[in-house]
Amino acid sequence: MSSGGILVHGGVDLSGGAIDDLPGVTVYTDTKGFSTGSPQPLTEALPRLLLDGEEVTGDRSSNRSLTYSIEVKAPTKALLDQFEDLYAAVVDSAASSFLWKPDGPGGLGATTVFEAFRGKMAQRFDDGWDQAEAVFLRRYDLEVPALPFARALDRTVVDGLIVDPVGSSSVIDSCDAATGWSAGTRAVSATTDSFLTAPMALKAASELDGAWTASYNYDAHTITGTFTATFQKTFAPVSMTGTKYLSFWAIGHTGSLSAGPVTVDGTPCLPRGSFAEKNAAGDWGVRFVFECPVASWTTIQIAMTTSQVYPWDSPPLRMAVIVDDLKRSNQPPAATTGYQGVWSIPVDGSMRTPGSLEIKHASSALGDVMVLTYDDLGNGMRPDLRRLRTGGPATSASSTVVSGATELLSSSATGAFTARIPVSSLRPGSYMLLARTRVSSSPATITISATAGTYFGTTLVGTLSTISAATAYPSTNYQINQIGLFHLPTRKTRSGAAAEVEIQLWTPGVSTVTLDEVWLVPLDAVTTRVPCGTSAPAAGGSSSKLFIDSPTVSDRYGGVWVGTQADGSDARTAGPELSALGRHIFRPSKTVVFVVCTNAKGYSVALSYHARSHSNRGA
Amino acid sequence: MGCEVVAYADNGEARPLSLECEVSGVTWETGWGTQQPDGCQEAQFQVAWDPRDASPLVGIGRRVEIWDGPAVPYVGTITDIQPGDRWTITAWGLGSLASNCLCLDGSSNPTSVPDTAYDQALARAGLPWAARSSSISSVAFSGATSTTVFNKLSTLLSDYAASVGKRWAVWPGLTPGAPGQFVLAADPTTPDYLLLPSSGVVGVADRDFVTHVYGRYVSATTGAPPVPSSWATVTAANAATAAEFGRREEGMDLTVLGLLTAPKAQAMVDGKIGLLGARMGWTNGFDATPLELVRPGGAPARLALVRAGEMVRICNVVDAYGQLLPGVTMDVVIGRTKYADGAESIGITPVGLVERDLLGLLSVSDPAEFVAA
Repeated sequence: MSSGGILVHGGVDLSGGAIDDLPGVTVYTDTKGFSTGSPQPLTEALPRLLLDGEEVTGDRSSNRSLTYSIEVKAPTKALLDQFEDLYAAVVDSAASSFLWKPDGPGGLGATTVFEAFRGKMAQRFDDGWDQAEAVFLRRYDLEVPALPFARALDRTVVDGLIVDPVGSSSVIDSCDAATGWSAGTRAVSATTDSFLTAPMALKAASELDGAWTASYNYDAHTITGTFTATFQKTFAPVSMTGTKYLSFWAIGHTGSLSAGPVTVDGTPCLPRGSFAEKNAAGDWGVRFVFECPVASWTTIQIAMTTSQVYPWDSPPLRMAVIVDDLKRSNQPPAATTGYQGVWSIPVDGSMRTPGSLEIKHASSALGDVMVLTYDDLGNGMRPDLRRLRTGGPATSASSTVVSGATELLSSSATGAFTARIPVSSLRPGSYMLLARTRVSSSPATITISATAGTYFGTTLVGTLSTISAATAYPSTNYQINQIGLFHLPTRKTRSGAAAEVEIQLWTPGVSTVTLDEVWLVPLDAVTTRVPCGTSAPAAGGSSSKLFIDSPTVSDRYGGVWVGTQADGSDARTAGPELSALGRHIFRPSKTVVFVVCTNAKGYSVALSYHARSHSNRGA
Repeated sequence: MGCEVVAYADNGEARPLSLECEVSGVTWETGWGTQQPDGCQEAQFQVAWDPRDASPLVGIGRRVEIWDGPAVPYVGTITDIQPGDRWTITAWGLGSLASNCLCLDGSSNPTSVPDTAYDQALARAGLPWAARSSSISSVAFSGATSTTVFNKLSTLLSDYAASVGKRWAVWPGLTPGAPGQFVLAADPTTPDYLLLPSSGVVGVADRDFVTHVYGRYVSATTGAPPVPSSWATVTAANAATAAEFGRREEGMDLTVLGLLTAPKAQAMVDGKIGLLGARMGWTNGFDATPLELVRPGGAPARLALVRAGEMVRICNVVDAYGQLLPGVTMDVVIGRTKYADGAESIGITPVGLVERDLLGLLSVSDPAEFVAA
């Protein structure tokens, strides 16, 4: 390839460069006929009985096919044949990398990698092939299948995700007064607002300045109104030392709400997720979390955007964004006691890609580890429920349990552990309910019951879903048990409806079970559960390091490995001990990682993946 | 692929197969009212591995599970291993193991008491089912506790279930490695799923339905060994169906059950007509995607977790006259599901698909000779 850029397949340069051990041999790829093909979407079309057309579903794509022709020029017949031996072996290999660095007006672009499989190679016998052979020139046509989407050459690594063992946080601004706050051309007021029951918060609203942007949808005859306010305030220098997470609570007056960019002295903060949270007065909103990359700052800018779709011929509803309770903390907020943490990771590229995780603690065995990864839809979904607890038996704070508190489960539904989740932060689907509990004397088998229902305030809509599980306790240690499946919400509600799903948990007839934490794990999430032991870490024994490698073309099986060395030098497979094995997928633009380690306060998490794009992997 | 296939080694260790070889083509079926052991039925998958691998990952009779995240939709034991480019592995649900166990009491004498037969099969034969949480029946199914010949546990459970208008199935436990969960239940009466108006229409067929079942049974025996000396007939009918579509009579031979009391014989025919529903057979199954198959609350179905024995309310109905009735719903109990891991849709067949063998369903299991000793 003379002008198309650089092509290297399985280490063999097909674009005119030198080839190891074959002096004087050059290979060119014809730009005419060169094609990287395209991913083939796999869909299923089901006819609709009462309406026209078919419903098309499917989210998978089939392989692409790389097709190209090469021309080989060698100084001798022997070298020409040696090249064929070399390259035929590459084409015939089970897996190979096809690197493409396209040429352009600004020079060579970033390297795109196609993960290729065993292909077809055919010598071309067109007019004059015999004369060409006489001057040691040969042409081949190739057809090589490859994974549908192209990946980056290097892995993207996200590390330093650490849950501090002891949580600390402090309020930067309670947002009770508008003093010092501005929002560009928009007016900012401190308000109690009809959306809020009590405390003052900052509000910027469309009806105050009349400014929003409108985009017209000519087909649907609707207008999408978008309202953005960038709140800004300059403080005395705010030190982030030891508290690198910035977070604030927000709601929007219309359906959709997004936060960002958030900048401190002009430096962008990294989005680290969002989760549903009630403010001090009990109003549901979303807490947005950012990681602050600087040690100290004075001026913060928080851009908040809300939007609504309204009919062409009617006026828009008011649009407003409300921001409250700006905090800094050392843990991702509500990471509780350092045993569990949640992060939202920006994922490059446009296509889902297998991701690997490493979970490590310097000195402690990790205990029971549960890892979830799921798409960040920005609705604040999190599996841990104690932070959403609204009632139940008396609790005792404890710094040695996952959730930070325990309670003796009630013997009847009256007085049961109760948590409420805003329906807006649930994805409709199936959920496994898990609980971490212990008993005071063992062995024992105790039934744990749970219900789920959808409520508007105190009014139950429809009926409760009930599950129960006879749980065996071989010892008095804490253990995590699956209680059963819920299909939530038990009653769907329209977008924006102020409904909640209530989960209750109790032990019928007995009150000897101590509850630590409850998780509602969506089956849409990818889940891996690995017991790593609680004794002193030792090779072959309890483990302080966990590596979850997702399968790739070069490592077809991946693996789940446990050990004590950070470099994995004593890691062994955890296959026989797994109680859930997920092949973790990271999907752009953001993926949530939720990790529980029941025995290791202050563990760290690192992720890595090959960013994946359609056909051209940008720099 | 969303699901993991986990095989158990002979030392009981779980081996998630995808960590050691390539697994593809994972499909499994569940059944309810199928004339085979219900619950998890056949599962199949292909594996590609190096035949020189010294440590075989699968073996006949070994346990195999399918995991969907933390949930376990399938458990069975491996029945067939077909070598090839890709080895094809077939498994059957744990319910099928009941046909390997005889109905024996603690002294190895044949018994017709379901509780005893169940408990002893667990204790003696290591049947990997969970201990009973409640009584199936502590009463002898035949005229006496002991029977003259040996019967299989599957036979006793099926015949007992039919006599009380129920079916039995074995399902996976809640967690990996858990024993099979025996369920004895009547067909559900409230929907677990709604099939929204879209693709699913189930046709009806007039073949193979019955409105009157006559059962002939042995009402007295004489001599030693006992031989039948008197016979009697019991009847069960669905008059409403007969009035609308005409009377359809079928006979049921209960004499193979040996000496029966009149109430027990009546229970057998009542149970059978109850299970058959005295209604038309269905002509077809349907494929459903999570767009159409939803929980009554609106949550989309998790296809891997849809089970036979659950009820679907179909929102597109062809009535007995073959007319499409938009806005009218019809409830069907799922008789079989077939799901391929990763597929966007699941194949669902109602209980009572027309291909059913009506006469087969009307016979009691053969050679179930529950003759009192």
